[in-house]
Amino acid sequence: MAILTGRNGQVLYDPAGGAAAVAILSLNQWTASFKTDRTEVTCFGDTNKVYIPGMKDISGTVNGYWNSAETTLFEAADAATPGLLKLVPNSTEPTFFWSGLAYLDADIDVSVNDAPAVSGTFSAAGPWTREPAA
Amino acid sequence: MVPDSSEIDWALMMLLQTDPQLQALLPDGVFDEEGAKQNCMRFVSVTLSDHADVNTFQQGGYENALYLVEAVSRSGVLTNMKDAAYRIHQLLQDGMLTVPGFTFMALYRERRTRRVERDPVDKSIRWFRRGGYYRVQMALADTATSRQPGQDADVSAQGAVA
Repeated sequence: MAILTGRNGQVLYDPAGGAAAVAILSLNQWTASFKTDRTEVTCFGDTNKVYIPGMKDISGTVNGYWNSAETTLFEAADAATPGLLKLVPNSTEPTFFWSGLAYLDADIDVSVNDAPAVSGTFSAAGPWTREPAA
Repeated sequence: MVPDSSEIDWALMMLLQTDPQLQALLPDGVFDEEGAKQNCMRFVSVTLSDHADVNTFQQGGYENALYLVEAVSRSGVLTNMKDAAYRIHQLLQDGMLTVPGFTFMALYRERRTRRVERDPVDKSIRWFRRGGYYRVQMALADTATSRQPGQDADVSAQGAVA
């Protein structure tokens, strides 16, 4: 496959944590980080620093605009239990995505000269998967 | 169906064109950019000065346009430019536009303009221009109702005369 555009990106969420994730409207950006902790174990005689991996830390952000018909992000931020978050780079390739349980936070920024902007962060609340698996 | 952005221009011009007070002050009409007829001496000029599509995923988002709207009058013609510019401002400042395929967001002035130009052909003629830059923001349909990637455009709209 070729490099595709980000215009058709998608963020989907199911507050019940199941498989019924629905696209969140009026978003225009998402990021995700899958960094793994590293512990240094450099010893005498090593020619360079040496590390061993720890646990992967999955988190990220979503951004977009306030739409009164779409309050999922703020409902998720209020929820006491994690929901299922699904991140799709391009919806024309719907079989390629990352998903897992996540806790979300939300922010809103309202200024006089622009559309109110919403943003959120998420952190993994369970195992995450990448589809299709390698 | 993808909405037609030119309808925003049209709605703005119609708002000005259909106001009887403004018509009385500037009877020669409302024109797009410098499209005024040769014999027009008192008219409203509307120019799309700047535009940006602010996109969201799934072809949503909004259009962010800046229009230069000015009362224009030729030297030697008695025109109340002060009242004409003020009437334009009364109509547009926090006004509202109804445009098919869009949801209205905002209409307001960002800054005033006031200038005198020399006619490019007859240097003895001056053109007095007074008005402002007006911001127009119109939201597109939400994801659920917008065209999905891969869907064909509405072929019935192709070939229409602008």
